[in-house]
Amino acid sequence: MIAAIQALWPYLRLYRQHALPLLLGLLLSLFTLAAGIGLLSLSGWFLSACAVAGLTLATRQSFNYLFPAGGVRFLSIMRTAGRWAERVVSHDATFRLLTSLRSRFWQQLLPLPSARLQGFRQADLLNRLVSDIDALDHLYLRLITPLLSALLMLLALFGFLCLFDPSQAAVLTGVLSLLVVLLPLLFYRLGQAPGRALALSRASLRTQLVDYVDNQAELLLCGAEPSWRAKLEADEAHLLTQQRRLASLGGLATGLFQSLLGMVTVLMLWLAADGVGEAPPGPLTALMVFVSLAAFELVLPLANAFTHLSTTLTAARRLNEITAPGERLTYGEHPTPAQTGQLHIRDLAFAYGAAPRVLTDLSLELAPGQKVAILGPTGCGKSTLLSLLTRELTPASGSLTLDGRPLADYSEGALRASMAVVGQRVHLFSATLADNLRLAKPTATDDELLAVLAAVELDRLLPEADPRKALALWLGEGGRQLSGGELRRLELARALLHDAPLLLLDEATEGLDPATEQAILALILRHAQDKSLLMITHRLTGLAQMDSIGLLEDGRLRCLAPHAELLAQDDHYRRLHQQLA
Amino acid sequence: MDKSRQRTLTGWLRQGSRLARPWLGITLLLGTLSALVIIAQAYLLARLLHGIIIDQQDRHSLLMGITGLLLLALLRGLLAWAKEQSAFRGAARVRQGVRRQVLDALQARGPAYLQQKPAGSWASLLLEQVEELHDFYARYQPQAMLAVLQPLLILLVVFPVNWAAGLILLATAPLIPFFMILTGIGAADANRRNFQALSRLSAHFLDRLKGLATLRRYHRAQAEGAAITAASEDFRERTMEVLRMAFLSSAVLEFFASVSIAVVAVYFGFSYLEHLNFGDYGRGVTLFAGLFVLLLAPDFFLPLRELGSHYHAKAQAIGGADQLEAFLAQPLLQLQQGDSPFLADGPVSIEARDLEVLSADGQRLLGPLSFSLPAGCRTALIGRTGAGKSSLIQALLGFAPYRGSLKVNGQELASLEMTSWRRHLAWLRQNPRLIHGSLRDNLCLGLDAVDEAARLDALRQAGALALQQDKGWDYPIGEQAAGLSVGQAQRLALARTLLHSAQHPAGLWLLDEPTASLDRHTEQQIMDALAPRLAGPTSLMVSHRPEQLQQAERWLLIEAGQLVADGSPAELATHPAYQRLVIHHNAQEPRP
Repeated sequence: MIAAIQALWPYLRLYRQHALPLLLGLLLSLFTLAAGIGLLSLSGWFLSACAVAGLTLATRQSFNYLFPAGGVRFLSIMRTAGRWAERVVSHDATFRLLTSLRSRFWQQLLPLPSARLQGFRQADLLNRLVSDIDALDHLYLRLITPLLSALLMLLALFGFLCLFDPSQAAVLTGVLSLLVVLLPLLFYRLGQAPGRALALSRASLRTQLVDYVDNQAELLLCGAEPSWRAKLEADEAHLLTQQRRLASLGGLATGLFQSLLGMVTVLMLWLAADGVGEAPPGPLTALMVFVSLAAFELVLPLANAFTHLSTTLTAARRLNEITAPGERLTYGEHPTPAQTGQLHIRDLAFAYGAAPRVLTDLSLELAPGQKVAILGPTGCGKSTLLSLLTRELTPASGSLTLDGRPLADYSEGALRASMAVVGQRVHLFSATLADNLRLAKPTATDDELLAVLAAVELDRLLPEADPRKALALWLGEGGRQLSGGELRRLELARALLHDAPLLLLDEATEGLDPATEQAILALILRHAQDKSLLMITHRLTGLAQMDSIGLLEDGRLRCLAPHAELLAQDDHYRRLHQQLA
Repeated sequence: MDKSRQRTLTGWLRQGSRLARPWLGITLLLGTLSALVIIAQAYLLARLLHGIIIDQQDRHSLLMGITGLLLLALLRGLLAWAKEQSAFRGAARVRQGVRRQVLDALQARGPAYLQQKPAGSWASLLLEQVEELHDFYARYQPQAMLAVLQPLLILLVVFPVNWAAGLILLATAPLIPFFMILTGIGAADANRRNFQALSRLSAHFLDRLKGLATLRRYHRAQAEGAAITAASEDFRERTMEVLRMAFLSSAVLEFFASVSIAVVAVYFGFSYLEHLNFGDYGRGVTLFAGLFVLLLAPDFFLPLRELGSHYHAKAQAIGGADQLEAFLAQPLLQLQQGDSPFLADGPVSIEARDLEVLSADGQRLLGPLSFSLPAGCRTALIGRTGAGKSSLIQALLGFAPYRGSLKVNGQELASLEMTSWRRHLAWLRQNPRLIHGSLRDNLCLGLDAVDEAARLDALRQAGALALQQDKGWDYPIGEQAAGLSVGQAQRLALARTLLHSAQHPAGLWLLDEPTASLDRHTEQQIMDALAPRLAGPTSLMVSHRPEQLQQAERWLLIEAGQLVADGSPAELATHPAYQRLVIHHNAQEPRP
């Protein structure tokens, strides 16, 4: 339990930020509950009192029915209004909470090195992250608010019923408080084991499904498809068994609540049948019974609170894991960006954890305006080099300087302004074309954007006749998708807007057909004339236009020479060029 | 999503509920029973209160009734438990059924179609989207029926007791169907909008998370955090405006529920005081009658109110159904398969006449082309990436539909029973897939009880023996062959192929760029291991490597889906199409 509270603590503290709307929601929910309970109990009492009064002519005429009858109508209107206001306020609070949960989480993600986030690359993990954050609002709306309002309402009920019979008031509110607190905890306990088993069997079914789809060709050819399909169905059945257990537990919780509440009513009937306080059995008996019946509305929202407790706890734990203390990206203080793009790499070494070194002692000099390509097969450490240059990773040893100043000295803003990266993975934000471009230069005017679009030859690809309308074109999810070539052009447009002295190309033409590849490379080279350029690639396109080419092998540059020289002297390089398309 | 699409999907969901039989019926029965228990509880409680308050009975003389009430409370709990379980079972059946349909469809469309999307997206169609359907069948659908049944039952028992009270209930809910529409418009609309708002906000956040690396590169991550907050605040304000109105219309139901209680109380109260005098069939109003109706009044509206809280289950199910329905309804070509077994042993001859290989949506990927390869012929397929070489291999594997004729040993491929045909094939592709499992599982896929000597022999021939010696048979291999290098994975795949062909000798080897992602050393090993195997049987190889092509006896040159030349390497070396290929030698992956 303490561990659970620890896991939830950071989020509980967030509660304070929204104290006002949440408190208002709580008050309104109390108000609605009170009106509902009051309505039913008052009605029950009023009926019985009228019936008793109606027995004799004298009491029939002296009975003041106006006040209770008015009260009943008043409460029924109050309940409606209260419910409406409560829903409005609590939905508003949900949105506010989600906003601050997200912005808080975003702030925490920023300084995390990308290696920590690597696992979250895949879309389903990111999806889970988002839904974990969404699940946290249940903590307030499904757990804390109902629990608090139930307990406060029970307290108020106790005070009210004490006016009639303190001992019966104590029995009713005491038993209900126990139910409200103990049953959710009990079921949370009971649900833990099947909950874990469910998560496991879900993960295992997912793995099997991915394997089945991914390996279908192999499975068919090996004749293993039917048995694999049978295995899938067995795994699915296992998942269903676990889910059924949890569903049955949920049903048991609801059923138990209903049975126990029914029994509490019987208990109150038994106690009140002997008289309430000083009064003999009469209309107050009905009041007691109806109050216990009306308490149903107060307690029932908590019947399945335990499931919400475990989902929010799991979500909170997973999120805490990501934001747990550990390595953070740090930057220096130097505020001005590099001007020339002169890059010196000396004896650079790097290893991922305890694995063998990916880079052993890599040295390279890139003079201002020079263009160098680094060539090597997949997995040789090219991407690592790039991550070291963008300071996503920190070298084990060796030095990296830009304009003669160690890379680590630059502030984050200065570092980003010093280099532009054009990579193979281009993220297209679901936003307008203008917004997608402006992230590289927030101050850019429409004319600048249009000029850049023309420079990367994207203007003619956009359908709108009026170019300014094209800037408002919605891209990405729910908008226009771009082809691979268009995406690279967009990325290049961003890089041009960014206008940094050093341009890094990370497999920038991967996945393009040869004609598009040539066109994009030509475009890049045309615009990078006065910039330093480092191109990381495993393809041979465009190498002839580079000042020199380095072959990356075994964590270092084996040789560094222009295309023609390499073709004449290096057997390996020549062989690479002797293949068929 | 537009309205007509929503209607289609709602129809699709309704149709699915026949899979839930008989559990849906049992759930309804249990719900009805539980409504009857509620009525019985109200009846007994009203009787007891009447006895205590009016007849001044001692509580000890009422023990029978009190025991009955306790038993009813127990029964109500049990029924709720049982109902939950049967509702679960019904919905679980639907999920199982839908999942089976999707799997069958995937199977019928074959591996070539599956490769169009990443495996993860198929898995989420099969897992998440199907799971989203659950609450619609487990909660929404039974509740929608109970919301009609329970009020009807209550009316049925209230009318004989007091017609005026019955009219009050009926008047506050003029007609249940009308009420359903009213709440349908109100609660459903509010729920749908809320659900949409939340999912749009999530999508926006997800989009920014996915682009975090890009934002960081331009030093915009910090600023984007503020933008996320602003967007989400703006969204909140706009959504709340709509929700405020939408909640108003659903508050009408709440209002009727409260007012009916108030009116019932006032009606009976005034009747007792003899200000009112109707509705009792002239029998006189009793406290019992008043309490009985008052106790039932909240339960008259409860199922309808609960239905409102299940609307998000419907919205969720419609979201899941969107992709499922679209996938299942897609008119796609299925793989052809007959039932004549493939009998011949030994090398296979291949004859294609006007062969066109098609994609699942009916587009022509290759052909029409005609050629014939005698048994035992070693053939190379040559052409640019995307020319259609792999499509021919896919068709021979039985993974792609075709038109025209493709005969193997004189039998039409489409008429063959595929399992018996595939047993005669050995296949190796560029990026072989491995399953989650041990080294042994991967090697012996589809074979049972292979003795260790045979296993070791296969590994040795494929040059993968070191892998077993270093890691052992139980070495776990993960997703996308994690834990192995590309070369190790290809050697393991080769070992598997060798092991299979040792069990059933392959009459046709299909090699689809088996060494394209490997370094020179591994490539040599693989080609050396393959060489003795390719001596007897027919083989068809796709490759870009001149030295591998030289070893073939026959070349098929393919350009843009057409066969442009067919002959021996000596004849074709000077062919213009081959020359074009040699000149176009950029854009290739180097090997260190």
